[in-house]
This record gives sequence, structure tokens and C-alpha cells, in this order.
Amino acid sequence: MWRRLRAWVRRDAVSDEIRDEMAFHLEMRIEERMQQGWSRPEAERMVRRRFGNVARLHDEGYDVRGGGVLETVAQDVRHCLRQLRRKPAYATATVATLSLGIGLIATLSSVVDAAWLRPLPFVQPDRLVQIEVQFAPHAGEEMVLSPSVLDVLALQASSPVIEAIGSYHAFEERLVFDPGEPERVTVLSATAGYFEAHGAVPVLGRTLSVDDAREGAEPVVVLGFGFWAQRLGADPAVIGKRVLIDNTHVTVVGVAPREFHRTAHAWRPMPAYGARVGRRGGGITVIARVRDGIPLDAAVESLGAAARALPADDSFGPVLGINATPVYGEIIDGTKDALLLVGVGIVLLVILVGVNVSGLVFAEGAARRQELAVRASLGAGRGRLVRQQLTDATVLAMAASALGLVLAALSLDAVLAILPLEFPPHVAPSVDFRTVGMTVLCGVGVAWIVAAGPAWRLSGINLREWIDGRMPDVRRGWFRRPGQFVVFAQMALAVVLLAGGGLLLRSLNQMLQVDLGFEPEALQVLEVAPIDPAPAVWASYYPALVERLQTMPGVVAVGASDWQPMRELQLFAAMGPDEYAPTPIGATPGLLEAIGARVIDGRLLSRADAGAHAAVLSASAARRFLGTEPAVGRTVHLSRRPHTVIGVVADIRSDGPRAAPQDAAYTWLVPHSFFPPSILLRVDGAGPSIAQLREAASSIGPRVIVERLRPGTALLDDNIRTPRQRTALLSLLAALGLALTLVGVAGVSAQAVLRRSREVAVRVAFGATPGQVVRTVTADTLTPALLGLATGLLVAAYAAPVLSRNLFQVAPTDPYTLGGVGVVVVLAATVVAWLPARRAARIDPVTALRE
Amino acid sequence: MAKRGTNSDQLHGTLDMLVLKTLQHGPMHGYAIAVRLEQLSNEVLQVEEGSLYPALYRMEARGALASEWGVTDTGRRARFYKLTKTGRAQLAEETQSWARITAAVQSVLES
Repeated sequence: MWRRLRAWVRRDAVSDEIRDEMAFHLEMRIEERMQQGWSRPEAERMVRRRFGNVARLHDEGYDVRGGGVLETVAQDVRHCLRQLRRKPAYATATVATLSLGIGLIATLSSVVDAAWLRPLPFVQPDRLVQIEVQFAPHAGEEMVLSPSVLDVLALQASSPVIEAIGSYHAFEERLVFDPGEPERVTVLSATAGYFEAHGAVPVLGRTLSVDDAREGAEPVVVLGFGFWAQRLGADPAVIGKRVLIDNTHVTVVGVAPREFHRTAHAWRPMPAYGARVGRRGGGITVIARVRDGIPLDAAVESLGAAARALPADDSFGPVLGINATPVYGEIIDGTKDALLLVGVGIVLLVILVGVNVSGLVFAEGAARRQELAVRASLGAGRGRLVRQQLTDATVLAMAASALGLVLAALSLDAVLAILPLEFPPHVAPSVDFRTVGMTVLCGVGVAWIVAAGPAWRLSGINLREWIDGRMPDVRRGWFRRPGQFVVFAQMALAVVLLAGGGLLLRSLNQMLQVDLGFEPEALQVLEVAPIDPAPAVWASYYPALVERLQTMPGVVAVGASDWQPMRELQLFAAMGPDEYAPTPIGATPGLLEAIGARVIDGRLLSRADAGAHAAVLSASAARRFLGTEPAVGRTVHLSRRPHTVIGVVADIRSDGPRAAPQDAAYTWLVPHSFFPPSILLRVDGAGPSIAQLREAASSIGPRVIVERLRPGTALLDDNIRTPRQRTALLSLLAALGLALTLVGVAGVSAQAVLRRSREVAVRVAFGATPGQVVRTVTADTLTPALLGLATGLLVAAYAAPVLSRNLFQVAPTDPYTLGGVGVVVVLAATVVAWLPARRAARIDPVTALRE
Repeated sequence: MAKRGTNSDQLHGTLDMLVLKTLQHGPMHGYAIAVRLEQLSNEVLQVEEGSLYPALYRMEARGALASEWGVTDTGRRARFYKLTKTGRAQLAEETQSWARITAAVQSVLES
């Protein structure tokens, strides 16, 4: 093996050595003859005749001594690259399609790796169980509740099977963090034993202990690794430092290990008593680690016995037992079905890719019959020819793998957002070395499978037969009928997807053109909040900030409100309209001007309305609650208090283009930290920068946290995010489907050319024009394609009502969409089928007939 | 390489054995081996160069021989082959096997 490698590197020297050796032997034999009396020329002739074919001896010697397989593979690779350079169309089509398939494989690999193969970042995760407490069924329903904190302490004390037990609250609070720039961080509440149960050893300091949760204990926090590294610069002296979380000073006591949790920035001790969270059914998650060596069922039984000793509950009665589910098992099961679905989908797509590429490779290889025949005659065995073609396939696969991996890495986040998979926070799919390895292996494997069939077929070539014209019938191949069927099926599927995508696109377009009643384009939303939660601070801050911002250049109008148009999760939506009053919205003067509401009657809020219980109604609210007479000056009841209507504005579709306008009433804003207000600005041109706004916000007085500045169009985007995602996904699938179909059509067309070359030659010899020839050959391919198109359109028209729930002002059988799709596909398929057919017209009849 | 039948396998084996035997007394180059075989067999065995060199290379690939460049007594550059331990073992084995076969053939012919 090493010998071969060395020989390959010094191949010229090896070749020369063999030559020298032969030359020496030859020379000695000649001298022998000359000593017997022959002249030199005669001696040479005799010796050479006896020696035989020196070149063949040299080659045989080189076979034994030389580079062997390694060298031939290297030769093949170089040859393949040269060939590809000469045929860019084939190379591009094959590599692009393969890389699609390989990109999909890479995505699947990273998902599978994250879900199953990569070890969880805990020690022995199969020893972890989640514990819930069981009570007698109530009204026919099972009663299984989360334990209380006291239960957890009792279980830990009484049960010998548990090595460690801890709990955390799954509701992630986001609290403000200080010193330095305030920002919101994700903090989980956890009890002592939480880290130990996961087997996590802190990188610095300690973890939470039981004492931290006692009443009156000093507040502490354990930081997450990522947060500590990024925000605090991985300061090794961080233990003991004090920081502000939500206006409370806490001491840092430890740093969690790397990659322990994907989203949490810090952990605080869960209060043991008093908080609702700590009671039974409060929603905490309890994780226990079973001691080594104890089988899980025995542990569960023991825990059950210990649980029955727990005090009975006031509402639910005595504790009946324990519900213990392996945490590890949950991660798998939860995603298994979804994973299966995704996996099957990807495998189908890969098979499709494989079939198409196989067709291309076959057509390409058949065009190289001559070269293969010559090689065979020069002594290449079947194995050698097959190896050469597999090498070609591997080169393509490598190029495609590189491209596919890049595609996958770039699109992984987007694809995961679209797929119906949810990963627990300790697990994050990514394209790393393992994924790359798996993908390249699969990619090469796919390429070999794809190329093996054609390679075997084509390597059965014999120069003699080729010259005599008795070729093995490679033209028949196994692609004729099945190939056409594949084109038909792919075309139908692609057309259905395209139709669906087209409908969704049109519907999205319609959505964007709806008159919202206000203008999101020039709108900017600034989210800022004072850190001090005192109501007095909040009450005075926002009006002051609004006044300050009004003076800034570029600001046309500005106001504050506890409402944002089209914001998801309106916090006070719970206080929605009832029969007697429209939705009250807090606003400062300037708000309605800022969002661009149109005044129909009366006027908008001004500073003079400060204590006067004034309200501005939307047109439909006025109509509904006050009838058809003018509303200005009349009274309406909001929040159980009478308000005077001072103006009416046009309806605002505050829930986005798809929902009906809401009845709304705008009254004086009372800022409260439960519903943090935002600042809405109407700007002229670019408006003030975030830095300027931040400075203005900080200049009022109290310390503030400036969360973000968003343009109004971003709010609109959020609102139509789901339809947009759906459209994007379907359009992407449709584009992929069309691309694959076109490749398939190209492949089948190329084979048709090969197959009919003899027939075409006869026709040309009898006087057929190139045009006629091309038409005949193209028809072979276009017939299944057009049949597929027609079928696809029919299916689309029939099945489109399925989408009607997602369509907006577009009919499911919209003729423009279906017609457009039809036209585009016909054009594309014709071009793609026609290009290889052009070659048919240039066939030399004599050569073709001889084949 | 062209395929060979079992017949020539036997011829292979015989030639290999003779070459190994020739090299038993010390390293030689290819020409010397051919000449020596002709001498020792009283001109009965004429070695084809077309068979000799492939055999030498084959045995070297299998590890029975080792080769290196050297200088002949006439001052020419040539490649010398010598037996390795594996080669010696192979020689002993093949000699025994050959003796058994010829004895068996002889006893059949004499019966």
C-alpha cells in the first residue's frame, strides 16, 4: 500500500528504472550474440525478436511496480475534470440537481443528528425522569399534577433511589439586567438539585442550594455560560459580584456549563413558600436522577410508595402515586412522528433527484461509447471501465456535496422554522463536522447508486462489436417507458404545486393592497420603559418623552399608546369589546396623527383634554353605539365611566388586512407597567436614528431600557407572517419540483435523441429537413410532459378548494393563475426538450447508420 | 493483464521456484539469472525474457525478493535481486512440493 503510494509519487522514476533494466538485459544479450560472431545490427534484430514486445513487458512491470489503483483513479479524476470543462451544460445540470438532493440530505442529517445521535449535554440522560403526582380521578378525568416544592423536598429526603432531584419553572421570565446597558434576559426559576439532577457541573462557583430559597436569604443568581462569556466578557472574578435584576440586587454565585441550555441566560432560586408556582399544580417541572444500578421500574415503584406518604391535598384528596416519565424518552417520542414525516418527504425528493440525475448520466455516458470502446480494446477490463465511471460520479458527488452543504448551512434556520418539528431547548441542529461527514458519505453513496446502473450497462462495450456495428443495444436502456412515465408524473406534481404557489402568491398580493385605514409606511414604533416600576414615574415619563420627541427634526407627529397596530398578543385583548362599549385604547395627543388616522368628524385628542374623560371613536364604533346621528358631543361609557366624544376617525384595520376593522375608542393614556406603552412616530424621510432616540429617552430623567425601534412595515410583516411563510414554503417546493422536472425532461430528451438516431439518419438521407427531424424527436419527450401538464392543471382545479381557507380575495380556480402556470410550464418544457433535439438534426446519416 | 488458465499457474510456479533456487547463493541481476538457468540445465531450459521479468516483479510484489540498483563486474548499472526470508521459506516449501509431485508422477509411470 505504501509502496504503491511511493511509486505513484515517483512514477516517472519507476518507469525509467524498468526501462533501464530491460535495456541492460537487452544489451547483454546483444553482446552475447556479437561474441558468437554476429554483427551488431543482426544481433540486435535477433535479440529483439526473442525478447518480444518490450513495451508490453514494460507495462506489465509497471503494473506490478507502479502506482496501481491510486494512480489510475488519479488519472480518471483528471480526465473527468477535463471532460466536464468541455460540457458545461451537462456539468451544471447534474451538479446543481445533485446538490439539491445532497442539501436535503444534509438538512435531514443535521436534524437526525440533533434528535437522536448527538448525546445530550447531560450525564447519563436515561437516568432522568420527570415526576408528577397522581390523585383520584375527578369527574372521569385523570388527575395528574405537578408536585409542590414541599413535595419535592419530602421525596428527596425519604426516597433512597433518587440521587438528585430538582425542579424549574418552564415559564421563562424576561427581566431587566443591569449594570451597563439594560436589556431583557431570560431567567428561569429553579430549585436546588436542578443542576445536579442533570449532572451539570458549574464552570465557576456553585449551583443553587436549599438555603438560597429560604425566606430572607440573600438573593443569588447562577449565570448561563453564553451570557457570562458575551455580556460579562468571561470575567473569571465574577463570583460574588452584585448585579441588578428587575431592580433587585442579586449576587452571582456560579456559572453553568457550556451549551447546557439554549435560551436561558440565568437561573434564580424558586421561592419555596407562598408563591403560587410552588404549590401543587403550579406548573413546575420536576426532574429526578435515579441512582446508578437501580432499574427504572423499581425506582418508580419506590417513589410511588414514598409519594403515598405525602400529606393529602385539600382539594384533590390523598396522593395515590407517582407518574414518572423518562425525560429522554420524551424528547424522542415527541418528535418521532414529525421526524418520520419529514424524513419520508426528503427521501422521496432524493429518489426523484436520483432518478433524474441517473437519466442525465446515462445519456452522457452513452455519448461516450466510442471512448469507452477504445479503452476496452486497449485492455481495460469491465471492472476498470466501471471504476472509471464511478470515479466520474464521485467527482460530481464531491462538487455537489460542497454546494449542497453550503446551501444547507445557509438555509437551515429558515427550513427548520418552516418544518413541523420542535426541539427541546438543550438541542440545536446545526451543520457541523458530523453532519458534513454523514452528508458526504450519503452523497457519494447516492451518486454511486445513480451511476452504477448506467456504468454497468455501458462498460459491456467491445471495440470489435462497435466497428462491426453490432453494438449492445444501449439505446434501449431501461428508461424509455419508465422514463416517460417519470416525466409525466413529475410534471403533474410540479404543476399542482405551482398552481398552489401561484394562488397563494396572488392572495398575498391582494392582502398587501388592502386599505388599512392608517399608514404603516411612515410609522416607527419605539419600545422604551423606565426601569423603576413606580406608577408615578411611569405616569409622568411618557407624556414628557412625547413632548421631547416632538421637537426632534424629522418627526412629523408622535404619540404614546398601550396599543400597537397589528401587534401579536395584544395584552389587553382580554378586555375586548363587549356589547356595551368599544375597545378602549389609551393614547396621548399626537398618537392618532402619528398613525395617520383619517378624521371624519370633530377633532383629535389634545393636551387640553387631560382630565376631561374625552374619547375619539372609530366610525363603526360611533355607528354601532351611538346610531346614525352625529357622535360628537355625546356620551359613551368606557371602563365604567362616562366619556365625551370629541371626534370620529375612519375605521382602522388594526388587526391587519385579513380581519375586519375593530370598534375602537381612544382615550387618555394612563401608563402602567402591566401594559408597557410604546411610542409611535410618524417620520419624514429617515427620521431620527436609534441613537438619537435613545439619547432623548434617557434625557427625561429616570433610567430607561430602550428595547427596540421597528418600522411600521415590520408590524405588517409580522401580521402576515404565517401566510407569508406558507406561501414561501409552497413556492419553494414548486420551484424545486419544476427544476427537477425540467432536468428530467432534458434527460429523457437526450435519450430519445440517441435512441432514434438511426431512424433520424434514414429520414435525413431521404430528404427530411432538420426542422421535421427536430419536431419528431421533441414530440417523443413533449408528449408525456404535456399530458402531465394537462393532468396537473385538472387536479389543481379540482383540489384547489382545499386551499380556499388560506386564500384572500382570490378564487381557488382563478383562471389567471392556472393559465399563467400552464403557459410558463409549456414554454419551459418546450425549450428544455428542444435543446438536446437540435443535436439530432446535425447527425451525419452515414455515421449514424453504421452504428 | 490478460487472464491465464491454471495450466500456466503451474508453469508460473515452476519458474518461480527455479529463480528462487538460482538466487539462493547470492544476489543477481535479471540477465545473470537467465544465463545461469540455461547453464545449469545444460541449455535445456531457455528462459523467455517475457516470462522472467514478470515473474521477478511478481515475486518482489509478494515479498519473496528484494531488489536494488548495483554495479556489475563489468561496470554497468543493473538491478540486483536477492532472496528475502519469505523467499527462502517459499523456496523450501516449493522444493518439497515439487519433489512430492515428481515422485508421484514417476510411480504412476512405472506401474
